[in-house]
Amino acid sequence: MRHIYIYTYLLLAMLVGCESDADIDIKAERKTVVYAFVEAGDRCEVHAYQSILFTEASAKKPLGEETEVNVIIDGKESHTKQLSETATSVEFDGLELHSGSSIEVKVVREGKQLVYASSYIPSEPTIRLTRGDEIEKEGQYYKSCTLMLNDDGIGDNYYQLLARDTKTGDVIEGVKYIGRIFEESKSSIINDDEGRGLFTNANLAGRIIKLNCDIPMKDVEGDIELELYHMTYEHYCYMQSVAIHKAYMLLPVFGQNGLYNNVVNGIGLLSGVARTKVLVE
Amino acid sequence: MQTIHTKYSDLFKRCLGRLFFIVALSLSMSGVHIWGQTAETEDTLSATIWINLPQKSYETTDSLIRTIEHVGDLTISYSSRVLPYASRPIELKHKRWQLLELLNKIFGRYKVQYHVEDKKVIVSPLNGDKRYTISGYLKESGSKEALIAANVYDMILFRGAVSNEFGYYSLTLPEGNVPLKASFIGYTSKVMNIDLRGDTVVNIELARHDNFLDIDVDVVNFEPPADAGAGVVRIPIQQVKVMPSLMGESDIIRAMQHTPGIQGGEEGFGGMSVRGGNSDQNIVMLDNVPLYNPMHLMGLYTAFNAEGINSATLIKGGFPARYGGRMSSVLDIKMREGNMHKFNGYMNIGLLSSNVMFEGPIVEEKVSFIVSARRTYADIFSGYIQNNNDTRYSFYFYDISSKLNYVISNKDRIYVSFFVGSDNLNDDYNFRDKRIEYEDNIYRDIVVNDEQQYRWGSIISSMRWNRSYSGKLFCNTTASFSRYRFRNRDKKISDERGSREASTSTYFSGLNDYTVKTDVTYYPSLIDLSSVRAGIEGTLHAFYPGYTMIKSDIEKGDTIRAEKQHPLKRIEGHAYVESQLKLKKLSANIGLHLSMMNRKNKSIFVQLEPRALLTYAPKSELTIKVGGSCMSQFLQQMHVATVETPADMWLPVSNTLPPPRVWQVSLETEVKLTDRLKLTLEGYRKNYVRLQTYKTTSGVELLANGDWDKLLTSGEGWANGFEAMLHKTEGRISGWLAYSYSKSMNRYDELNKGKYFPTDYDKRHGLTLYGVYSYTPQVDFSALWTYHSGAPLTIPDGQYVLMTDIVDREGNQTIATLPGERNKYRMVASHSLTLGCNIRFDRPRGEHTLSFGVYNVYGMKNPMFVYWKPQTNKEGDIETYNLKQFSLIAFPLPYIKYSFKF
Repeated sequence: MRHIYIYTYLLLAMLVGCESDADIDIKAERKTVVYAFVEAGDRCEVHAYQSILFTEASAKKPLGEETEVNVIIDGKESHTKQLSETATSVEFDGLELHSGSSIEVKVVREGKQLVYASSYIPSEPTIRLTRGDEIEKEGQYYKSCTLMLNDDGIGDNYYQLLARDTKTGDVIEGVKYIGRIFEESKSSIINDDEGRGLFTNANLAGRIIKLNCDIPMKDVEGDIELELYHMTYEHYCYMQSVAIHKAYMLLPVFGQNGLYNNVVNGIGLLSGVARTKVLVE
Repeated sequence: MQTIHTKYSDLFKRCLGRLFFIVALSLSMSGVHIWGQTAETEDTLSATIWINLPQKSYETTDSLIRTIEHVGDLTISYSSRVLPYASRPIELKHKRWQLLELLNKIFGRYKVQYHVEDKKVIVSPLNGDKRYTISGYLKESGSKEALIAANVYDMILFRGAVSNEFGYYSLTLPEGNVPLKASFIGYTSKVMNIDLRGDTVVNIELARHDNFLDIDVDVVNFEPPADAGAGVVRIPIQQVKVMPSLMGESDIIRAMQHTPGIQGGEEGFGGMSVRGGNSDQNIVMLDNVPLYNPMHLMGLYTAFNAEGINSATLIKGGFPARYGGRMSSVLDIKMREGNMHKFNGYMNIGLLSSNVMFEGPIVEEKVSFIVSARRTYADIFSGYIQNNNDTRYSFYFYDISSKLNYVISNKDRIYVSFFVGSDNLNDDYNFRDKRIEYEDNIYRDIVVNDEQQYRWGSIISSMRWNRSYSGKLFCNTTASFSRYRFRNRDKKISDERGSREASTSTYFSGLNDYTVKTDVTYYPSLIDLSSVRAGIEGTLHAFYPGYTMIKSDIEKGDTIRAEKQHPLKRIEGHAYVESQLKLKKLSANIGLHLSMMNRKNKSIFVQLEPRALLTYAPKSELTIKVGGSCMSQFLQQMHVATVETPADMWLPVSNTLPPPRVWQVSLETEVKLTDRLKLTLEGYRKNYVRLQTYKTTSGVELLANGDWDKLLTSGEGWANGFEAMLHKTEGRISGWLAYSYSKSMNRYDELNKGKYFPTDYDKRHGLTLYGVYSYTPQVDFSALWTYHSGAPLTIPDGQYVLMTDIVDREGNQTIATLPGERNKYRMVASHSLTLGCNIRFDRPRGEHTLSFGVYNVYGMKNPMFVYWKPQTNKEGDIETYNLKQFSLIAFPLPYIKYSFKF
């Protein structure tokens, strides 16, 4: 759908367009970036760094001065660590994180506004792989898989299905979900035309959801592992906005597109997440 | 020179003089009823009052009256109602006159009465006891096309009416001989003597001037009708047709954007903003039916073919109660009804598109039709250019409008209208027997056909029934359907060694409206109440906020993998009542509008919206209007970009937040500097409450998952501004100079840290100079110069590394842009000059017109948008970014168009 803008823009640009330097005095401000995806267990890693200017090389820029990162679990268990001048992340051990835990992260910098965010850890999803066949299509080989997901039916649930190369650890790109994720009755579809593997349990609450996907094998070095994420609403919105942002980023008329953000006085995302993995033989 | 002779003693003179004066007046007038009414006798007034004038000719009637007052040492008091032509020159046969004769000479054509008080002669309209109604339709002679907003008035009493959107008027007057005058800009005025002795139907036909710019139109000085409204923009279609434009396309909305308070997007792209409001706050109605996509080519052109339009009226303030549903403006476009008398046609060929229009009677004087169509042809040429390419792009748009008009009787009419407009963009990837390498040194021949089609457009249809009851009650009932769709169809067929796979994926969004409404206007016989109008309307909206349908056909076994989901339905209702009051120099349009819409949880939003417009005309040259209105809105358009795009979705307002509304007050002063020159000054203030928008614009794509309600944030805003327009309506040189200052700010709880920011259309200063010079009736030259301040701009002012994978992997960094403060920056100001020329050739078989001109004559590089452009090194890695601006048409762009009318 979104390609229309590119095409229209290109068409017009080819016909009559003209580019020139813009005479605008930019007064940019740096922001504190915070990311943390927290799973059940005893550890979590918090990433905290600065945004950069357009004239700078693309990289994580440390916050540059003594920074304290504070993690609070279930509103009572508090852990604080210093972030060194060169570090862009800090790891916390010995935590008691489980499904339903609430988590709050604060980044404290002297003389700066407190940057903070909060979230919770969803329940672990139950999945079962029922099919993993190798197929050939248009000269390409795919692993065609079918997965059954038991939705717990408790409220709105947000999911993402990804495939990972066990050897490189990379998420496999180009997974075809289009027309492959349906509920069992086929009376409704999960809208996913961008290959994000994101879906909800809307109209499917409490049911067994049948998931189909074709995973391209061209660049896979190891085995394929399917990962089903049960995510928070914020995480789901963020992942949707990432896909949109990637498509629109720096396209001229989409200048206002920002990523979903739940970090107060900063930018980024704190979210609990629960994942279940299954190896595709 | 004092030359009044008196012969009697004071008392006697007072009594007898007054009596004689009355009798003499009564007897001496021919064809004019004169009543003398004594107040106090005055020795300066008698039957033998003579006036010796210094000269026989006077530049204005008014100057003659001033001379009489001076010479006779008296005061003549009269209302502009009894002397419409005070500025006209007057020629007398001789210098010496009896006062009564002289008064007759001045006021004699009118049904007046004289009151005498002291040294004052009061001239006022004569009132009768019985009153009757004159009603009917105002039409163009020949075509029988309705004339909308034309004036009909009694030339003596100066009581008038304005024809409604169907050309219908109704006027209640005292019995007797009524000199009725009908006038309309661009048409020759007509005067009829009506012997009014009962309710009468008078259908009036006015003849159109070939060159409307050179017409000597009477300046009508009767009290202005309040329903003319404040903040009303009406541009005659003929004027739109001669206005120079991009590629020579006659464009009513673009023409409107050259008047104060109305703006388009940058370089014409995008929608229309009225007084700082968003584009979705304007309702565009074609024959009373809302049209959700009134533009082609993402806003560059209006979807209406000018040849099929009768009139276009935009209201931006002082809204009458009959309008509702949007907060900023109403653009009311009426299609033509078709010639009742003979077949006519029109065609033109331009660089961008061609138009055709046909109209004529099906049954003469009973049934007529009109059909107009337009299509662009860039796709035909681009097809040849890309003939050998694997990938081809093509674009075209078209629109077709038609109308059937059936006059059942003098009282009943039926109209059936249809409009379709569509934009089409195709991207075809189509190759055959292509040999591709899919593994090392292994090749295969495959056939792939991959077509991407993007289509968006509107369809509307309506059926209306007009009925006039006894000339005093006019009823219009409409049933209509309006649809907007954005559709992307991806059709893929691959054939590899006989193994065929076909699939189609269709995404669409849009809405359907089903509407029934009835409006009733009552024209009572009361002097102070000229009309009462009421109406009721119900609309069923069916929203489709982004659905995908997928069909697959694998190995000839058809499989429907998905079906469309149910639309989101809402019922919107409106009811209103408004009355038109006239109290001497003051007139008022007072009304109340009720809006309602159901919510998801079956509760109902109800909004009560008071409206008032007061018009005060202390002099015939001066009109002051004060308007106050409250408007609510239940629909909103969610944008995915900083310009309007066809993919923007119409949705109902939030289920949880109350609907937005705006209060607007405006003050307008209209000064007639001369018969043809008018100055309008207007100021306004708007306060928005409960505005809704997305926390992030990219969130609009989440709508498909049904979560859109959660992504809204509420806010408030305000706008104020000043508008001035000096308008020369007729003559060999006509046009206008328009200036506007406007400031509009919004604030949302969860946007921009809750701070106020300028709205996207906050362009502070706008200036337009438009002129047409009619060199001869066949040749005219036109020039249009426009300027506006730079538009607000949100630029990402930084970047950051984002994370998407919960497994942190070093070296796998993705960069995101950092959204800057909302509309923190501004583009540079834009200005451009467009010149045009129209040459008409009258031939026995019809009129030929050649139009040509140049858009952006001095090649101004006006910014359309601004963006960061990556700067790469030799290895192709991005080193830095430079800020660039894109100009759509940065050079003089000529146009030429040929049209033929028969």
